Amino acid sequence: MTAARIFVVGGVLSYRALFNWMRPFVYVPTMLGSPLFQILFFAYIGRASGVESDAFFVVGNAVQVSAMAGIFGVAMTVGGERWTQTLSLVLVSPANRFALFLGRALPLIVNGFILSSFGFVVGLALLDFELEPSVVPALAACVLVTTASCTAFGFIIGSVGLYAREIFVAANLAYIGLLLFCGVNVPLDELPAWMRAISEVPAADPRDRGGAARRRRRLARERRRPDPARVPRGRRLRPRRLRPLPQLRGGGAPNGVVRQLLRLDVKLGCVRGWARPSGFAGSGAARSGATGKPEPAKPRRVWPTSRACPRFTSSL
Amino acid sequence: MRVLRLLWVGWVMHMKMLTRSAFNFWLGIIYPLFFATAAFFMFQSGDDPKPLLYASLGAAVMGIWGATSTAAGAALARERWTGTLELLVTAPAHFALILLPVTIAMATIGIYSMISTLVWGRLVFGIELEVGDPLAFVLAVPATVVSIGALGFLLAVAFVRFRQAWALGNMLEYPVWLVSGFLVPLTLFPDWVRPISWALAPTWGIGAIRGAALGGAPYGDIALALSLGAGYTLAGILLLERALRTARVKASLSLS
Repeated sequence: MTAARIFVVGGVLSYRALFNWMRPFVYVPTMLGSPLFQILFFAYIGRASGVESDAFFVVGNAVQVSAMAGIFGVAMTVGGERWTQTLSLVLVSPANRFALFLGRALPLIVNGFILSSFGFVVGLALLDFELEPSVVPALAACVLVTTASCTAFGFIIGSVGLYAREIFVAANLAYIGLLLFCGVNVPLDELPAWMRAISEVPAADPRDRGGAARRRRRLARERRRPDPARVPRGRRLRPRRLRPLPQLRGGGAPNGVVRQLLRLDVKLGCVRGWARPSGFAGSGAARSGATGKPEPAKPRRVWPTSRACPRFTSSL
Repeated sequence: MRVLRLLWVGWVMHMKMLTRSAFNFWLGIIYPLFFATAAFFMFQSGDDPKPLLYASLGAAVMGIWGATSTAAGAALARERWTGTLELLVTAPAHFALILLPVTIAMATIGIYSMISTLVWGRLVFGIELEVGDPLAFVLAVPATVVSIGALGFLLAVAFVRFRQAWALGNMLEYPVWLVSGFLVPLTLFPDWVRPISWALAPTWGIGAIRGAALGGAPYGDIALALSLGAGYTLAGILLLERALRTARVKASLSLS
């Protein structure tokens, strides 16, 4: 009961104290102004470069801004304690630390969800972006899981604050690192192999924790399975059926999306799957595998806008 | 002569302090590199290298404003936290002469970011920049830095009464990047955005740098950037006079 009280009351008080975000003067420019201009900034760069449609940038950045609350918020809960010289008091208090810090995370998850929703509203109001009402529940689930995982990622950054003085540097680098490595503004298949490899690391891509980890565990189990030729006599191998993995990207079957949500396979690509026409695994110019430069023979593929994309408006 | 000495000493002192700050110096250099990398990936599609050169210069100058906006917004708050604001305000020298080199030093830090972005573009993305008019380029960079520093000065003064001014400075980072045409041509924006762009010195600063590097008429843009910088400084001094008078009357300088 005490832990539950710490979870709820501690979380609410911490959130109210954090950055004074409850005051509109600080909340609006920090939590709403920056995401608004971030979405506009990248959408207009997208228009200038012609690499993707508005929908691509709205979805990517609206999901990514949820990390702002998670990473900066959690980082500040630790950094703020140090700043106000209360960190040592928190650490020596008998309060359940799990409840204490998890309680602080919960309002930030809600906040991140609000930020992300605001990002989608910005896209709908100001940019060439449309959203079919039937996809909203699945999208909300994606955003919620992303926000929760980004908040967990924020705890990693926040723990750096226990050792380093400049927690803001780590938090800023983590935030813009997600911006670059998670395919928010540059499609993953446009990135070099080493950057794609980092984006697939669960810790670096909080959006892919569940799916990638599960796939790795399954592969490890497969490798550990005993060779039938070397099994001792008297012991029988139990036949085991492997379930097929759901298709992660490119839209897939409608049920696949729901399965991905239930299995927490909420990689950003699956969210974008709705916005991408089928048959396109990537985007932008066709590239030579050796040099990475555009191949003149292949015409450049530019995404149609959301208005012209029939799949985007299709229901789940 | 005393004024020039005060400006010089203030600039040198704050450059020394800023270069020892992980947040203002290292993050100021690394942070724009992420945006530049994203922009390079987005602009490198296609055979024409010109958009990439355009983006390279824009991303390089973005760092100057990035180093200025949040830091300038928080400049007075920092003095307030350290308890030196009252001392600086009551010093015999005019407070504007103390604050102006602070914001210009912040913008100067952006030169490190500019160089690192250009080097990053050259080494990683193979963007070869050949400056068409080196003299104009050498003039355009400090003119841009000074004018952006003056804009930071106006920003710092405008937010003197707000405790959380850093939040406003932080919020203004993206809009100025956007409407100044660092990465997006101004022709893509609605007509009502153009006057806002023209009123911003970074618009003319990046125009001058691009003109010097890629060919154009940079000297007009340099003059306009410096003129706007002078205008910001004048407006900042007037605003500062008014704000300080009000703060003295209401005893609200420390906001305590």
